Amino acid sequence: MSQGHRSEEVVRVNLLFFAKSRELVGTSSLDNFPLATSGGHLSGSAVLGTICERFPELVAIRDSVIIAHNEQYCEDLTEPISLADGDEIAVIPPIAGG
Amino acid sequence: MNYLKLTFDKLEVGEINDLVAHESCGAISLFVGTTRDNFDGKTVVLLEYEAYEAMALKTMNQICEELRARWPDIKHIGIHHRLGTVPVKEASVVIAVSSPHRKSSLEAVHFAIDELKKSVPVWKKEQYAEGEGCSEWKENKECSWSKSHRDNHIL
Repeated sequence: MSQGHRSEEVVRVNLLFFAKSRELVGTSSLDNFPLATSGGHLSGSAVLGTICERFPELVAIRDSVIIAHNEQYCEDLTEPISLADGDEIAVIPPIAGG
Repeated sequence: MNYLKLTFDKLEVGEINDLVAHESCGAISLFVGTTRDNFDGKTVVLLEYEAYEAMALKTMNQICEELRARWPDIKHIGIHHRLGTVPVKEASVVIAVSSPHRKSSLEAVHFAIDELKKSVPVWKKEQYAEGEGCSEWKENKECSWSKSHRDNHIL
């Protein structure tokens, strides 16, 4: 890492699905989901893209969801996320509390 | 104290009022969000709530911190959100704030419900009466990635 060279690294994360995304994929969680990262980094949209490849039924709502990484919203999906094994990634459809 | 709770039980407004009551306070302000029986001319028969519970409690706690930064004289805050099936007319959320004088608690409660709708990961599905289209996941217009929010911010 010190040379600034980022090698490809597979990080295994735990996925959570809520509301419409949960209904579409038919499960509320999936552990040890592999993400191909660059030195542990991946943009939010690439994370979402990988999830959609595994669960094509999510493509229909892809443009209206964001993700949360370890209980923090990643609203700007272009931002890189620093990922480690065991991290939690949640698919977050528009919220409707209150 | 901050009294934060997600519960599948019916919310009791009086109970939450008593939680935030304090002898040094001259005011308790309450907001009670209740479930409506209609949407877009359709009859709503049932509402289902679900939450990303750990994150919802975390964001509710962040709202409390924000309230205390803006209105430092606030004494206690209670935010209870109901999950699971909520029959129409019943409370889905209760927010209670106590303060020495009414201005802080009134303003804080208003701010808190607006923030909750914006940031707390809770979802709601409306079930409609037979023949009116079965059900629909709702979206708060305050949620920045909701359709209505996006539509209103496209120049």
